[in-house]
Amino acid sequence: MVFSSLLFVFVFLTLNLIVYLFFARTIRQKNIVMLVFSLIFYMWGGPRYLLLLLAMTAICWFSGLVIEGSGSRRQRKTALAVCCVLMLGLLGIFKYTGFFLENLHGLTGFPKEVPNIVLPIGISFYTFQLLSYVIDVYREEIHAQRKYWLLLLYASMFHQCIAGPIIRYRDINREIAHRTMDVRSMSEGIGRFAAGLAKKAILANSCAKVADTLLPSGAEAIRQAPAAALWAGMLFYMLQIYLDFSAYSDMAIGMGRMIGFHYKENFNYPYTAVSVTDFWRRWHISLSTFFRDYVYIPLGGNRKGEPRRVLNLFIVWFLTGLWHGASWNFILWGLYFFVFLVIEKYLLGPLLDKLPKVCSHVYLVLVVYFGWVLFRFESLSEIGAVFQGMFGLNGNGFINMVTSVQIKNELFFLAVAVLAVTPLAKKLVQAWKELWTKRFYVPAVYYVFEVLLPPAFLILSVMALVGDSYNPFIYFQF
Amino acid sequence: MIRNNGEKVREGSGHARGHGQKNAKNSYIAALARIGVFFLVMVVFAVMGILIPLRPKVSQIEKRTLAKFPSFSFSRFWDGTFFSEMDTWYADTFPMREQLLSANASLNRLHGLQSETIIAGKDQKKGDQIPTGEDAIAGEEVQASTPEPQSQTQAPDTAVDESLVGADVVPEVFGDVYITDGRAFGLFYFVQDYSNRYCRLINTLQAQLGEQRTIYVLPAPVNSGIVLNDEAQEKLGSSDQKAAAEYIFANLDERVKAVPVYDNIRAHADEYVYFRTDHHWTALGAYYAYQEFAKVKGVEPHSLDSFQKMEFDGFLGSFYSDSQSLELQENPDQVTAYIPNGTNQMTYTERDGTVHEWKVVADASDYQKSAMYSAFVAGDNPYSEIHNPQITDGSSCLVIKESYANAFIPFLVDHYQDIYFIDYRYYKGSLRGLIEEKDIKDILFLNNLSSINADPILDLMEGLVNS
Repeated sequence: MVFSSLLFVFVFLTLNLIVYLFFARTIRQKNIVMLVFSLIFYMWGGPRYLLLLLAMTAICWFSGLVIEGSGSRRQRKTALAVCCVLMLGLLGIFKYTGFFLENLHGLTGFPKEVPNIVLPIGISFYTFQLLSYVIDVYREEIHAQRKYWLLLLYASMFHQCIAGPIIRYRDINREIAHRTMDVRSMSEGIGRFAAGLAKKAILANSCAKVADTLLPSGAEAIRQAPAAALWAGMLFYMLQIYLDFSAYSDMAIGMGRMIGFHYKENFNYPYTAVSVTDFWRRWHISLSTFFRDYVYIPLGGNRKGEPRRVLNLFIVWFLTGLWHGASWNFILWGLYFFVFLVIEKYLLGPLLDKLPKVCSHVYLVLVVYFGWVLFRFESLSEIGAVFQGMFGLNGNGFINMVTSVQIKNELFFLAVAVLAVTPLAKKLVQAWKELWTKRFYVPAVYYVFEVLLPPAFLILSVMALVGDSYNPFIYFQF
Repeated sequence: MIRNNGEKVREGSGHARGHGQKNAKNSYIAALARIGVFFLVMVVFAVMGILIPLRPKVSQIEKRTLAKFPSFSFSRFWDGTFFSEMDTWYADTFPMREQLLSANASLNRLHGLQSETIIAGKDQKKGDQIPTGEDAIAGEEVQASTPEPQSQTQAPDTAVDESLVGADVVPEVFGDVYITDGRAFGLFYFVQDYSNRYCRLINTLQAQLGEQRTIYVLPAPVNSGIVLNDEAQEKLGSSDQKAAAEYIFANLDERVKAVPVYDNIRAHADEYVYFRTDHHWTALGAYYAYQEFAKVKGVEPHSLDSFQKMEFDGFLGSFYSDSQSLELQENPDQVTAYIPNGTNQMTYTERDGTVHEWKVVADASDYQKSAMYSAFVAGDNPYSEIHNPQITDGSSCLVIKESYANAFIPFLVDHYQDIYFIDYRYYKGSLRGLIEEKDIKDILFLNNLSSINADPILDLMEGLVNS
């Protein structure tokens, strides 16, 4: 089940909120309700992987207790190491076996057949969440959770289990044991959730549709596309990927707020950044801070001399790339940012500071834009064909009529989508609020707007989602 | 988005402090109202969602059966298929689906300058170069092949809801659709390999049948090739349809009779020869093709005014279904049909094997707006027969067709004692068996150029010829 499905919104979430609000009194009951719903949610992707989630949580729960209960440093270290090996081992088996064997097969011809292992939903996210828990227990930053089911609630919470953000246990352990709901935070949560849903259903899905029409798949087809189709297609893809991902975080944060959880922000308008360093402080914040706190700093960070620092950065960005998917293009994508970060650190940094903001912003947008080419296309031949095509080396001219019509058709939508990745909407709402509450003293106008906005978003999203199950080509395919 | 309402208000500047308290209260009421209204809307949708009888089963505008509630089995439950199909079912059959869809279509119209639109098809984006002259001879690739036992190509599962019977449920493959000035065009991409395969399967059949029977091949142009001028076609990257037909003729066995229809239809391009909202030609367009067929066969074509005419208004065809374009919706077509003089009786065999008596030209005024093209020969069925009692010379014709031939067949009725037609997408019998059993003299391949240049259709046709 995904958040942007009608079944989720009108059956799952509606039921969840009704039961939570009207039938659960104590915090214990509330937690039970959330756990049961979370397990059902997770089961939706195939119950077989629920067992894996239960087992991985059990490993971490047990390790946490052992680490906290043992006196000797050595024992604690061993317990942590065993836990990490098991967790990363399981992640590796389920996520990377195919990739590893495929490469091995390419090099040595062994094994003959590469098994096709289906990726358990959300494994990349909950593995990291659970690891952060165990490591924090080891670092004595938090107490171990004595109750297995509460740790399971943390790991499986449907708000963030399958698509992030990666929430740290230490950030919500207090709220698991004790949280309060009030009218204002519930209302805020609703606003955030509805805005996220609309962002996904209306903006991100439309961007995806346009990107998919403009960007063919397969190197052969890409070589036939005119340059403008590739440029525009990548632009829509760039918008899609931010809108899509940040919309999920918005919905997660919003649903958390409704019932009293405060999840940390995961995005901070990354496309307004002025350097790659800045970009990664604003993009998927929960992932970059995870790698910073649990990989980069433990490796010595910048405290062990410059060569070591560069090596540490290399490891972090290799892993960041690999985390995004078991394929070389993702690793390439991670290392691409490593290169720019190192360049910025040692060469460009002072220059970027001096340049007018516009210039450094353009620089960042271009770097990220080309980065998404590596992210979107899995094979090197496709990536090569896209770059060649963008610069007119495939001999298809700059634009053809089909492409120009397609771009014209989406021109206004493009403008809206571009504005949606900036803080403009937020500022406008704020200004609108101040206008009516502080200037004209007719707050009712603003409040009516505030009341009607979420249902409007909801209805528009339903309209868009109903059409989504409609595949225009379904009846052309024999 | 809206954060810390209360705090912000309390921070208000000095002179506003008097309002601060009031604002705090207001914002509290607003928050309550917001919760109330939002949940109300959620619950209304949720209740709508569980009212199973409200759920539509078929979509008229999309011409398809909607997803069914999944059947349960342990393995499907275990791997999650059951649940994901439930998701699809819930969204696909949501009550008021069609209204929500068209509301969304109006919204999407605001996405940009939409005086022209392109609905992109899949795959092929650029036609192959069409060889002409000497180069056009493909040689071995189009040689008749000795039939080897092949696994019978299975026709697609086309179980359809009763209410859609007669509708064109599996239209021909069409790729990119270009919409401008209230009409839609199917763009055409020539694929040399596919055209070769088409020629080869016909040459193979010719080799099997020998001299006793005559094969006619009539490749029908699709509307972009006739209605759009050459310059527009080139700009859109649509291949030259006349050249594509000539390429086919150049590669057919010389015993096969080519029926070139392009020039005659093009000469009447300013008449109503193609629909605006549908990918078919009109009966008028088919009539000009029929004139050419008569010429090749050496018979006198009947004049249009010798037929009794029927007209049906408000037709919104496949291009409309595909695009949901409002521009097309505002510009519906009229279906004109000409009743054959010899007989208006026919029988057809449905996909489930049941046989029906029907009219060659039926009254479609009560049909769904999207199904009016089914006025002709009962739409697409695996197998049909027409027997003209006015002719007793033993003449017979078999048409191997997809839906383009439907508007054409009524004109053929007056020239044969027996007409048989099979839709290669659904017919599961043996082609040669049929030809021999009924002792059919003329075999007409009437296929549109887009179908000829599409892979899945060729698979089905090859299966038929080799069976």
